Amino acid sequence: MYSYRGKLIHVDLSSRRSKVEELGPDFLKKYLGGVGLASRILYDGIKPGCDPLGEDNAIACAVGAFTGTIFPTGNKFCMATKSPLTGFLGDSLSSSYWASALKGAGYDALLVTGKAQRPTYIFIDDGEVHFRDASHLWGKACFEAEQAIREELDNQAVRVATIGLAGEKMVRYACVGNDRGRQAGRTGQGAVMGSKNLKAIAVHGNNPVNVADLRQLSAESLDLIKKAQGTATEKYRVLGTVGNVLSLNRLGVLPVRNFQQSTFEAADRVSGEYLHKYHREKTVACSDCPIGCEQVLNSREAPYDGAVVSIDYESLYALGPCCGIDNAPAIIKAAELCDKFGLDTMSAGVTIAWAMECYEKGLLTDADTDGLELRFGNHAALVGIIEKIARREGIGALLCEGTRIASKKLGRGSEEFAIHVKGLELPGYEPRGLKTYALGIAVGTRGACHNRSAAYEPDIKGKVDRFKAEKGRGILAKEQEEFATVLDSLIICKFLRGCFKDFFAEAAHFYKLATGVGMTPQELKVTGERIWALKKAFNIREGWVKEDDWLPPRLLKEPLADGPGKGVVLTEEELRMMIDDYYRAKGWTERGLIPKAKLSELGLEDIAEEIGVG
Amino acid sequence: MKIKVELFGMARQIAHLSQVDFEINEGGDLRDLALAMAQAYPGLCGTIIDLEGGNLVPPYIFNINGKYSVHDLTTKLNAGDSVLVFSTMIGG
Repeated sequence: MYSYRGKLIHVDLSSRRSKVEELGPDFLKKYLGGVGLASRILYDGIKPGCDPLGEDNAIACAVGAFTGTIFPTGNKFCMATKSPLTGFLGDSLSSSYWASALKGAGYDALLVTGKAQRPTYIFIDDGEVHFRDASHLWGKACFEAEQAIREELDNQAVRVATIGLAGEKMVRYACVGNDRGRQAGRTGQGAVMGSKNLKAIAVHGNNPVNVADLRQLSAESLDLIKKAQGTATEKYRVLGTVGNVLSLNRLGVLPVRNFQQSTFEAADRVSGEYLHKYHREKTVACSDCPIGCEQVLNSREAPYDGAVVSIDYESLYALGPCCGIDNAPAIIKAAELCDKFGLDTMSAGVTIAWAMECYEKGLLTDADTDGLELRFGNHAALVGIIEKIARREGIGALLCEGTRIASKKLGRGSEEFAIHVKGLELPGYEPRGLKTYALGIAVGTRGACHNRSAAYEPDIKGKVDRFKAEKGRGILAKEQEEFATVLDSLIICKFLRGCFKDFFAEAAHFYKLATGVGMTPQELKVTGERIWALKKAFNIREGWVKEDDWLPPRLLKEPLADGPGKGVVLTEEELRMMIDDYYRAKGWTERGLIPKAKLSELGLEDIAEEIGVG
Repeated sequence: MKIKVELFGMARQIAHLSQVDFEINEGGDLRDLALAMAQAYPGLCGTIIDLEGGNLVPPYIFNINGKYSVHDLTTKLNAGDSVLVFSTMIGG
């Protein structure tokens, strides 16, 4: 089978041993790569019920069929683990040269198990695994550790995925950084690495990837690259994803002050246009990407001058409007600190917003915050609290747990405005004004995630009445999550989605050009359904129940306070109706469980025996 | 009748303005508005407005009063309407 390596490398930190497992063509076709492959390897690699921060948890990494080829945006990897934030499957993607290096080293996937006795980093060098001491790296920032390892190995071509202080301290939403500014950002993979005393995974490999039809793949990829540099992505090249701030604000779906409002009076001061004019340093692209959406910003103003970081829309929303912050330099500084310490900007921002509301309601006082006046809009408090979270110091010892656990610990009604699904904090879109999206994130396997289910698309595109909850949204949410699953498993960047006219047909065609393996568009669609079912099965095995598919109380009790949707509500009855509709569309039971027959139909017979019903 | 157009993303960058009023005939629709926009701001043609197709270039779309995005250019407008022009490509 072309393009793939057909190999998984097992690395056990406890025994300091490694072994290679062959991955057959049928298996690879069935799970594709990325999210699909990593999720299956993790499913097989850990025991149900393990402590996410214990020795028995594992980390599965997988690249895609297009990684290392000329096909654009395929240089990404998925890092999957049992999430310490959600307790369910945490699958996180990162664009990275790390992905092509792993494939160049001879592997499609990596499974890390066990726990090192002391700080360690793994170095996979052209197929060989080395365990190296990381004591001198412990405490270093993500990008400092990246560079230190390259210098230590005397090879600038080594690619490094590393944790920062937050991962070492096992902050539940610690991320994994690489390429100095890219992250496997969500669901706490960094904390899992920290729990294993694993500072970094360095890889080096230059073996070229052989594809089935190089001439045709090259020609058609070049056409796709031209499309990727066209109108559909121009906004991202010029303004970046922060170019969405003003339109989302105008639609009344920009969450503000911990989802108390959906329009921000100071949106102009944190918009993509404003940042482009006053703070843009340069535009860069991820590995193998012709789009180049990443806007590197420079704070340029005291007291935050000197901060340089790339910011996407989600980071900006979470650290900006969600915290009531309109000071762009402070947001840039806060994002830089998150990257330095290895914190997920989204969970960090939403957790701080929750704490700000607690402070304003008197549930947290100056005594709790070490004197920080943690009010909405206080940018000094925002910047000041991030290091406390990374170090688990003072108020940071509470906030490092994320909103679900922190609100349970604090209690006193603070759970009502803890904005998470299954423990994962919400992205920057107001669900009450986007009802299909509300369903999509409620049933998401990794919690509230716009990337795993872009169910806002029918709402934003006007294919449905976005303020209305109704039957029929179930099939839309199903289609969106399974489409995203295919993108995340092949792997193809979602910003390329607008460049296809018939995605499944074209993607299947490209898959054959790369791998030599034929795949019908329908087979590819079913693959998306299969992988989603696998992820759901993982969660069921970990104790998922129907009640986990739900939204935060605030979103179901309070009407929208402002914007075009002012007064719109999303009731519990409406959400329940849409979830029931979704389960029916999926062919699941009323309790959201998966029938054995359905799992068998998807080719998951072994899983059917384990968690299937009926 | 007067229609306010609010531009976002590249539409704003190209036209160098965030909003502008247009006069179109009573009973006019979104197609009339698109033509008026194309005449006033030719730079929008090809990247935002598809004159041959008589529509916006995907992923750009019209939205009336910030509520509903509209595909059908025969949708009638009312005096005082605000029409948004923005890209439906979101995510980040």
